[in-house]
Amino acid sequence: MINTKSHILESVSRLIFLFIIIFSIYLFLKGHNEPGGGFIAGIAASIPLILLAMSLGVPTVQRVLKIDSLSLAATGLILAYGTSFIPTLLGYPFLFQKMIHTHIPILGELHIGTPVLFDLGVFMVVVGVSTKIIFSFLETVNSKEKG
Amino acid sequence: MLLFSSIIIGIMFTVAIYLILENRLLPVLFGFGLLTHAANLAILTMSKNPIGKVAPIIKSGVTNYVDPLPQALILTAIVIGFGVTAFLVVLIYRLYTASGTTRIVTLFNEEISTK
Amino acid sequence: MITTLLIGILAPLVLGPALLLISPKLKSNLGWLALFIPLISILAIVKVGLSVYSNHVINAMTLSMDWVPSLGINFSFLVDGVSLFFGLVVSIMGLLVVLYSKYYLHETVQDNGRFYCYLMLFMSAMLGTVFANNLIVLLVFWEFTGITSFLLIGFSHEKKDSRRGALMAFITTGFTGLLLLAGLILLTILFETSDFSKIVSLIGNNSLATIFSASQLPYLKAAMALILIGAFGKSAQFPFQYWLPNAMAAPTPVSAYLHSAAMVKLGIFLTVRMYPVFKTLSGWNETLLWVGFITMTIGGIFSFLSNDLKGILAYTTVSQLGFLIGFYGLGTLGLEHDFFQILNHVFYKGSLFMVAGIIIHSIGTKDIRKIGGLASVMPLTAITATIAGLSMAGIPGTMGFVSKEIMVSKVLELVTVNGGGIYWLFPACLFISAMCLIATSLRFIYHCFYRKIQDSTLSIHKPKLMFQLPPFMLSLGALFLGLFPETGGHLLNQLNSGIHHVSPSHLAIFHGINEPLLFGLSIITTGFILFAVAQAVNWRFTGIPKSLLFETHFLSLISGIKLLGKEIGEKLHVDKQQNYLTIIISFFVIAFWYLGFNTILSTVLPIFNLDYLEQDTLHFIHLIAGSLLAISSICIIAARRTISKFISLSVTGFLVGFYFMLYKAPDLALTQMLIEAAALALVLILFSKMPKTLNKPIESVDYLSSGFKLIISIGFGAMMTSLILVSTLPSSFKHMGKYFIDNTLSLAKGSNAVNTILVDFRGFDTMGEITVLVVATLGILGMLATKNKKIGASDD
Repeated sequence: MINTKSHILESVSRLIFLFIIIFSIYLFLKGHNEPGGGFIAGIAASIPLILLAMSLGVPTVQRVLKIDSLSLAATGLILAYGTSFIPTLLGYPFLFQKMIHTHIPILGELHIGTPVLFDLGVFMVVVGVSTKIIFSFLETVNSKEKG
Repeated sequence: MLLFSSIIIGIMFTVAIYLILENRLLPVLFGFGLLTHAANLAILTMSKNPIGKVAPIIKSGVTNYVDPLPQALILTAIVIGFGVTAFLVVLIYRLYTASGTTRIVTLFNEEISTK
Repeated sequence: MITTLLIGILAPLVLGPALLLISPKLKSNLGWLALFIPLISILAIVKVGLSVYSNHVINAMTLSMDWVPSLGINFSFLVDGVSLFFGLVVSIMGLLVVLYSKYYLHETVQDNGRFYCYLMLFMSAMLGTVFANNLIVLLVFWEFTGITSFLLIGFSHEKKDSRRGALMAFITTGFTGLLLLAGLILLTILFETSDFSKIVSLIGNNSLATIFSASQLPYLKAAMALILIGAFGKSAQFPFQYWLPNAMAAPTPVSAYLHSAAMVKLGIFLTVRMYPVFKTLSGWNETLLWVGFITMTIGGIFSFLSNDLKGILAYTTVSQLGFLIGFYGLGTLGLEHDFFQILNHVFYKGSLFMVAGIIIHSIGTKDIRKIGGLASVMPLTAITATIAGLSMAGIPGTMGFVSKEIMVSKVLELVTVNGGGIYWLFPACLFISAMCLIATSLRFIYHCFYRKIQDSTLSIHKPKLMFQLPPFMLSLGALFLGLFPETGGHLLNQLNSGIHHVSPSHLAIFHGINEPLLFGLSIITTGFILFAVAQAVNWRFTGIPKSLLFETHFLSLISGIKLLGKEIGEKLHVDKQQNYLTIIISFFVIAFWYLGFNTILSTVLPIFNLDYLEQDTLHFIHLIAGSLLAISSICIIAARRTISKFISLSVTGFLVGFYFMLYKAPDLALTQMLIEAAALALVLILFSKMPKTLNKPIESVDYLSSGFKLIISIGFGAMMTSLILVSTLPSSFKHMGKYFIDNTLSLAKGSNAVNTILVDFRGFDTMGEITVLVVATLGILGMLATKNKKIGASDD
């Protein structure tokens, strides 16, 4: 496996990374009304990252990612739990959800609510978990090869 | 379609169980993956014959949707299945690097002899 | 009022751990501070007691607070004569024990914070148990006493004896506690309430046989038996008596508290509590009588044969507990003066345990054969021991005498009422045990204090006055009640509640010359003769035969269970995955086809009619996709090399995604494809580590076993096919799916029903699922982080 520190490769991967994020955000946002959603967007975001890690090496991808996958998963978990438990503190039932409906000029009708936050939590957990598993597996395998 | 699907799923279960009963770890891993697929499809058949129905995405004027509940169940099952597969893969990796074999009999004989 | 009671019960629970925190600063002065905690409890209980006391009667009162209302379990407490009596005994004894511990621990124990903490937790548990009204609350506190007593008995955990004794006590009381749980639940189901006071008011003055039908009576009897086993386990009754002497490995203040006033009295307490429930059930009195009297006799004889100072006291306790349990068995003839007897035991036994502690503390041995001549060193303790010992023996002028006289008269009454016969065994048991107790008590007093020094090598150091004070106070109590039984009896009768005789007989030292007096005097005479004879042969016969010590049986039972588990494990070959998996799956398949063959035949076969097949339309594309799916999965077996097998599996995975599409499930198809890619990456990384195995064809197979495997697998596959066909038959059940379709727009504001189910309708499931994912990741990380060790080396 290649493990060189090429600036070109890094910038290209940053660019690819940007597209991935945009695509997965698209999948994520339309999930409520079209096929998509947190799970699918999460895996869609992590697959290219995994492929990048396999070709460029884990350290490179992690430098681009900037955040640790496990803390991403943890944040997602806390977010999902938070949207479920906070309503109980305010006297609503567990997992109570609230929607806001607004009209935004160019984008049209916008329905946004706590389910989106919950789904975001799911998204983060899926991305974090799948990349963390494969990244750390890759690193272990590679370090064994060297040593 | 139901009868046909159920037979296909039966074949998949047959193969999965056969693989799981093998005495090497890799076929067991494959058998497990196939078992997940077969189980998912088995749940999906609960939504009856899909021919003539549309996907459960609500559009005005359409009434004959397929049952969305099995789909939601399977969606989570697929992701969980990935987690379990990953766990098994890493487990096999650990066993392999520790003992150099994926034959279950050898693995356990070794364990007994070290005790 | 409930707040006051809760303060009384929970103050030790809260303040005990606080003692632990400040113990490093206060060191040995901690004992003074600890004194305040039982004091708070005493004051709170007295205040609650006064509030229900008026016109010389205690009006029982229940105080409750919601806990699990959906199960009908409330924090419900009952304040009546029984709970007030036991509550006061526990808390006052707690106070004295803390005072005593202050001096006992001074030199022997380093971490006294831990000790007081356990002691206070234990006290809280005890108070909770005696005041509980709800049976479940009672059980929770009951088990908590078991846990805290485990900590207390095993306090000196560096000693093997302590650990063994603690474990023995814990297993015995824990096991019987489980049976008690079953009994209490049975009772709750039968009475449809778990509140004790409601159960009692349901019964009223009726006999249980009139309330319940004949078919329910066996369940009532089972409940009674289970509850009694719980009580017997806690009170060290036959056949559970072995744990108490072994629990003597605890520090002496613990023995004084747990084994005189508190924990062992819980069994008595439970018997008293359940008395109004079961008194009309046949078998209740008989069980109590037999178990009580057998225990009494065994305890008496064993105490006579023991040489260990605390062992002697332990067996006398066992005997005395049997005496009390048996006394409740005599209840048909009127229940009276039971508190008097319990208090008597608390006074003299607590005192004697503390005396034993003082002796062990000053001389350093607990072998009674080496002790002697201590009267000159510690005159106050000698007086204490004499009073308490004579009370234990039941010499006239002590409380023990009065209490024994009551018992004798009851037993003789029992014999006359039942017309002799086998009932003569009861007075005989009483005679034997009382005789042994007298001889033992005399030995205890004489050998420890008044004979000359036996072992001059032992250095004796004089105990402090304050150290000797608590036992002395207790013995004064015994003396007071012995000399003025009328006053004492009158005081205790104020605490009487519904379970007691309305007009108890008069208590007095001397009732005139009658049968019980003569019986009592003959016991005393033979007791003295026994002591004289034993003294003449210099107690050479002492030592309990090993086969009679139940603890050896208990220990062999425990190791037997371990052996059995090992044996079963080896026989089942749990270490050979393919063996036991084959057994499990083939059992499953065979059971399914054996039991369900006819049903399947009658439900599945009718499906194959023309109507069904006509409705079950099939497009060409489905046929192609399904056939490919079947072929690719069969290829996984047919392929010879591992890598080919894996490629077949991958193909199958993608085909499954396609099949999802045919089932009008775009979300699933998308997820399946993406996950398949991720799984592919994962397995490829694994393969990069094991290149050798990939291309190697799998070695020649054993055709017999693969044939067998094939049969099982086909059986399993056919089972799944028929299950799918059966479960998709038209049925009268409404499909839930329709609800989601109808409401996804209006309730969840999303048109993708699958997604709204995931994040909205069934969000709780999804939450569990992502938690599982994170947990699986942590497991994987854990496996990857561990150092590479040889398998099996990680054990031991």
